[in-house]
Amino acid sequence: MITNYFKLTWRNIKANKVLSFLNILGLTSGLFCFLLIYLWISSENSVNKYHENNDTLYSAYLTTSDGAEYGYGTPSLLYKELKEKIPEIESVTAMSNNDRNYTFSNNNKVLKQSGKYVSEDYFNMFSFNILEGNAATALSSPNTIAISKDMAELFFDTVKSAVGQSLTFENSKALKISMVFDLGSENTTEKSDFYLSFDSLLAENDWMSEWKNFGTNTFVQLTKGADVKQVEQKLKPFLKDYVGAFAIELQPYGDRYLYADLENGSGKIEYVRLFGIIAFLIMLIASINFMNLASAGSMKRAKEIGIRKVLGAGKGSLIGQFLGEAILLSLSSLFFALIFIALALPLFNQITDKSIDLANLPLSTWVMVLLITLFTGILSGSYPAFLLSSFKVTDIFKKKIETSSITKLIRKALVVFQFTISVVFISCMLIISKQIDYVQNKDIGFERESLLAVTLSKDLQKNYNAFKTGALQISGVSSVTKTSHILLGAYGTSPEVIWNGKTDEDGSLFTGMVGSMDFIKTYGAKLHMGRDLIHNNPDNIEYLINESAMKQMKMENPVGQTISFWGNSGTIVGVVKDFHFSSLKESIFPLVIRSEGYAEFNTAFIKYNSDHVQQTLASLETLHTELNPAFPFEYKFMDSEYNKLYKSESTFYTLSTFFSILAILISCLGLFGLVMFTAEQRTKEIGMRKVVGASVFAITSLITKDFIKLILLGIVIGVPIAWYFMNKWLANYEYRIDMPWWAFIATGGLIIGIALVTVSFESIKIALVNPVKSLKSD
Amino acid sequence: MIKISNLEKYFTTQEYKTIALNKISFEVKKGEFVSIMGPSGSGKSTLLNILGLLDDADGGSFIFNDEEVINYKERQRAHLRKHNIGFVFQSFNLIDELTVFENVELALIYTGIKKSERKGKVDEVLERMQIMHRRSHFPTQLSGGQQQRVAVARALVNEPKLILADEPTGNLDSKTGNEVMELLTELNNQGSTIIMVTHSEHDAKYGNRIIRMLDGEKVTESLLSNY
Repeated sequence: MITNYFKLTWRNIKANKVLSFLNILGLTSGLFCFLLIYLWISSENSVNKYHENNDTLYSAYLTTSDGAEYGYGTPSLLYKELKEKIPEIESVTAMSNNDRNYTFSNNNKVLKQSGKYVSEDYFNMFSFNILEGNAATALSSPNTIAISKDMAELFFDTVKSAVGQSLTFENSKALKISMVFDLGSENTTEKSDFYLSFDSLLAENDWMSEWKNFGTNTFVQLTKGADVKQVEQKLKPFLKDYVGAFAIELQPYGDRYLYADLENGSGKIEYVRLFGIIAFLIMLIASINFMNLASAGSMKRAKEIGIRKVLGAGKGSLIGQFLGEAILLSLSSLFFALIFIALALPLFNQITDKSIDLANLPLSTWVMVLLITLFTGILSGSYPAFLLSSFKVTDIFKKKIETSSITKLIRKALVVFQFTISVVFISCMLIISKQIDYVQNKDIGFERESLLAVTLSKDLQKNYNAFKTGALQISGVSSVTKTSHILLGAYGTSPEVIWNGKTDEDGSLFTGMVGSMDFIKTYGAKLHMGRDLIHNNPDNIEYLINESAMKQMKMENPVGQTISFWGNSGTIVGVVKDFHFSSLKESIFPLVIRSEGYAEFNTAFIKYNSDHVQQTLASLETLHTELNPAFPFEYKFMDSEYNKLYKSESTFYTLSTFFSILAILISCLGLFGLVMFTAEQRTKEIGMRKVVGASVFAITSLITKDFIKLILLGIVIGVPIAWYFMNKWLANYEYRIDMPWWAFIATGGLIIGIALVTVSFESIKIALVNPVKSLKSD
Repeated sequence: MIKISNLEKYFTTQEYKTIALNKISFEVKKGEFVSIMGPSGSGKSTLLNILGLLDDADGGSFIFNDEEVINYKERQRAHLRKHNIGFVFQSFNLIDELTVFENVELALIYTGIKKSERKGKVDEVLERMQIMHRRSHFPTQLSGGQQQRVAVARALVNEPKLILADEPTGNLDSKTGNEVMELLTELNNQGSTIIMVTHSEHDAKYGNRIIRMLDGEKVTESLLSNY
């Protein structure tokens, strides 16, 4: 029996080439999207969860006394205290905030590598593939470094020969390589080339030992069987004696990647959910196509069903047959979809920054893929199966089967549903693109165009004045300044700003950075009052504050007032108009900029003339090499760095554009098929109309009109849905576009246009048929 | 073998109720070849569909092999049908996507005959219908007469007690039609019970008895000389 079905399915595919092609193409496209998104979601869900101790690893974060989430930044000394005082904590590690670039040299090879500082327990807590050396002691002695396999291969002949050798760090000291690790193909956010001893970092930076400075990540590993709730109870009041009203909380380490937005309990998970919905909807559209095409095509199968019934086929066996066919078709679609996925993965990985490889998928993923495909087959096949098997033999042989009005209604509803989804997809896509465009071109309060960020490595920090003088002599350079931060990220905040009239209870948080002369000139920021920084003198510290800080301090005329940040007292010389130094998703934080400060002062900003960029860069490099021969010249363009802030939005936009196009394509395939069958069913009617004098145009519009009505209904339903979701999405942005009404009109126009082309193509064809033929065919 | 009494069938639309069979009664004995005649709309095809358990009656009694089947459920009818009745239609009703062999085999598949047995049975019946040389062809590659031979082969392959034929020569030229009628006669001679609906006086005479119908009623019943 099965072989009989199989044979018949195959012959049916061959006999109805257009229908089968539409069916398989639709299902293939649907499965392609769905599986691609499924692979991406699985990958997102497993990021950083491969560690052997995953179940007991937690990220510590701080919350303020009012319960508002605060962030992952913790005091740098916390790790030592926790390990000593909380028995349920087996290991703790501190980790410097982000990967930073440092210069390493060995045997005339000078290279920038990026990495961070971690404390002793790090390699015991997190799983690394250790190629050489001992994880337990890798960073226990001073001046040691653990490096990646890639970094080892850059400097040495073999990984084996690297351990025990030295690398010169920042042209100043030798670090002994204690370990070589490899992250291989693990699904991790850790991309460090090396790890240095956190204790050394602490020893070199006294300010880090201040308890009120929250710049360090702390990770804990609980003892097996420890109750995390109990530990959290102990941790909540832990900081009271050190820093006041902040509580320590724990988040499972594996959750941090998707739920980094602690305040809302969300983060990247939003995109995972959104794409999950998109995947499901696309699969639904594809299944609907299948249902519609199969049920519309049922007339062709009626005779076969009749014969089978005469020969004794029960309803069950007929349902089985049609479900089987649908499953068979979806399995072949899976085959094609996998081929397309294999072809598309390199590009997809590039866009999403993933390294998904079909060859490395776990068995469970394959089982899921198969189950999803079977489910699709059953979902798509169920409606036609029940419909077809319910035909009565006598009706079939009398050619009396008429599509019931309920069937017609269901079919119409399904078409409306498909186009509703397409409308939602396309209008969302247009609105997202508009918002991305807006943030990328918004006046953010400083001029990021023609602004270069140059790393001031070691010697250049001392020789900054010479560098600035030299740079200003280059014809393309108009202004130079240096700051502690590159104005593009969320920075640590601190309550350690003191001003006249500040009350003891005032826990206002400020972002602090260090700037220097020509800050305002180079950044192109605007002054609200006062002047730019002009002194870089430790004895005469100047402060610039932004308007938000001024409001926070409740000062009317702050210029000339004395404030202190981390104990450095100085005078406010100017108030800068608020500018965005973080993503536009965040509001502008109170900011204080101090004119002189700590050693990590490593970026110069250069305003240049955009006409001769290459020439200017070459001159700057020559100057850099002259002053700082031991370090490579490293720079970034601020405008492209700014755009990177919206990378996830851009990725989302790119992908959703692609999926929207596919969604509308699949919907149109279904529409095309439906028109084909409608035309077939109405052949006689069309012939009669032509006999009595209807024109080709009249007949085309007769068929087209019915479909356009459905699509209009889809638009009417889809627009409010899209409006609702986009309004919610835009609310994430502190700075956003108004809802662009034209996007909905454009979507409507586009969809009607595409549908018209699809429908007219087939209806004109049928309208042109000679009526003698159409009447005879009945 | 078959005994129907006061069989009724109505067709209702929104406004009209049409009587298709009006309390019709007759009996068919095992081994008979009965022709049912009548103009279009006289109810003969409806009657045949009810006899074949493809359609249900609205009243009366239908005894098949000493058993009342009038209230049978769909599942019971399907079971009775596939084991006892073979059908031959005017338009052959072969599945275009299956070969001659597969079309005939299908009837055996539904009665649950094992694959090993099926081949022998199908080949045997194709041989008997003299269509063996066409076993791998598709219906569209055959002439009308050949298609009807395949349909007869399919009707016979389960060795049914009853063969129902609905205008079996209606789509054939007279020469081929005669051949099909000869075939049915031969089957009847070999013991098959046949009930045939026809328009053709000529074909009806191949049977032993003619039942004439008009407006859903049996008007005459005549025995033929060859009985």
